[in-house]
Amino acid sequence: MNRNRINLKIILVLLAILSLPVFSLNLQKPGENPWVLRPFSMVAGFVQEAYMGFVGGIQNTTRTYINLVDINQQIKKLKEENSELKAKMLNFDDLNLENQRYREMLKFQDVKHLVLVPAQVIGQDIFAERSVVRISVGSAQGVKKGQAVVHPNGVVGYVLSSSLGSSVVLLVTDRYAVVDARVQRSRARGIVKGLNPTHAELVYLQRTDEVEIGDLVVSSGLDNIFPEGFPIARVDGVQKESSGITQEVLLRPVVDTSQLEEVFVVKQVLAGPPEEKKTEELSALDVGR
Amino acid sequence: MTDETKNESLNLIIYFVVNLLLLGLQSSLWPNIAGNVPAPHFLMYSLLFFALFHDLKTAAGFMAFSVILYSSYSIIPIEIIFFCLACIFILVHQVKKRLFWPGSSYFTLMSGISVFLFHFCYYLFSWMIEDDATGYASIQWGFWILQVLSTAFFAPLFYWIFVRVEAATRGFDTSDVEEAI
Repeated sequence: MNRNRINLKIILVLLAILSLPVFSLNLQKPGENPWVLRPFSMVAGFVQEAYMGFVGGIQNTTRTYINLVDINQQIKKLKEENSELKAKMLNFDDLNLENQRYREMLKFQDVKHLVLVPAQVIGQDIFAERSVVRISVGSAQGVKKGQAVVHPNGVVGYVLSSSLGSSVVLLVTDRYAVVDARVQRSRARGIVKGLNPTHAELVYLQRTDEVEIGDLVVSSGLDNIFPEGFPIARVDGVQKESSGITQEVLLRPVVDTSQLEEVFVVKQVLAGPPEEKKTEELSALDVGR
Repeated sequence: MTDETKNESLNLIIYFVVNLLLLGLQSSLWPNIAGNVPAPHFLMYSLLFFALFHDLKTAAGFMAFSVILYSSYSIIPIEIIFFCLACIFILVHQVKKRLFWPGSSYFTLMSGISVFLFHFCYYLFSWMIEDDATGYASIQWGFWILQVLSTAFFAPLFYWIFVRVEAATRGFDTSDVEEAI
C-alpha cells in the first residue's frame, strides 16, 4: 500500500522541473508567451483589472464621502457661504478640465482615417526597468500583436501580446521598442529607440542630417505600425562625435508614459488624408506641446 | 491522501493565491496609491520564507512556481527570472547553513539582501543572455535602494502573517513571533 501512495510534493517538484525545457522552447521569441504561461497571463490581467475596479470603487466612495461632508458643512456653516461657493467653483474648474480632456479624446477618436479602440491602463510591469503597461482590451475587442497604441498627445507604444481581456503594451521608452521616424522640420529619417523610462534616442541619423534641440520627431509610417505623421518625441540633446557617420540624438517622448491613464489602440488605418492635413488635425489637438 | 499531505497542499495553494494577488497589488494598485515610490518586492517574502523554513524539495518546487507567477506579470525573459530566483534561493540556503537566528529581524535582513541580489543578478544575466542587454547607464541605483528599504520595511508584517499560515497548516512554532510582539 505504501508503494502506491502518491507523494504530492515529489510530483509537484518533478512537474516543475520537467516543465522548464518546455519554457526554453520559447526563450528566443521576446513577447511571445509560451502556451503554458497564457492562462497565468490571463489571470494576471483579471487580477489587475480587479484591482483597478477596487481603486475606482475607493475613489468613488471617497468622493461620495467628501461630498457628504461638504453638504454637512454647508448646512452647519451658512454664514461661510461665500467661501463654500469658492470651493464649489474650484470643483467646477476640475470638472471643466475633466470634460475638456474627454472632449479632446472624443475629438481625437473622430480622426477619420483611424479605427480606434479606447482602453484603460490597468497595470505595469513589476520590474521597473522595463517600460511596459497592461491595458484593459484584448483579443475579444480585436486587439492583436503589433498594433499601434496612441494617445491624443502622440505615440505611446505597440501591442506586444494580447490575451482575451487584456494586452501588454511595449512603450516607446523601453529599450526593446523601435519606431521608424522622421524629424518633422528637416524630414531626416531615423529609428526611435527606447533608452530609459523617461528618454529615447534617435539612431541611424546621418551626421549631415539637420536636427536641433526642440525639433519634433514624428512617425514615418514606413513600419506599417504607426500612422504617418504622429508625434513621438521632441529633441532633447544632439551630440556629434569628432568621427563617425552618425550623430547621437536624445529624445524626450511627448507622452509622459508614467502618467498614462487612457490610451487608444489603432485597430485599422484607413486610406488617410495627405500628411499636411493629418498634421493639421493633430496640431488642432495641440499635440506635442 | 493523508492529513499531512492535505495540509501541505493547502499550504502551497494559499501561498500561490496570495502571491498572485500580491503581484497584482504590486503592479496595479501600488502605482495608484504610491505613485513612483518603488513597491516592495512582494514575491521575495514567500520565496525567502520557503527557502528558510521549508525542506529543500518543497522550496525548490515553490521557486519554480514563482518563476511562472513572476513571468505572468513581467516581460523579462523567463530564463533570466529563473536564474535570478535560483541564485537568491541558493544563496539564502547557503547563508542559512552558516548564519541563522530565528525571528523577524533575520527575515527582514535577508529580504533586503535578496532584493538587492535580484537586481544585481538581473543586470548580470541580462548582460550575459539578452541581445540588447541593459547597460550600466540604465541602472537605477536610487530605485534599487528604495526597493530594498520598502521590502525590508514590510518584511516583519509578512513574516508575522506567514508564520500564522504555517502554524495553521503545518504546526509551525510561533513562539519567537509572540516574543517579538
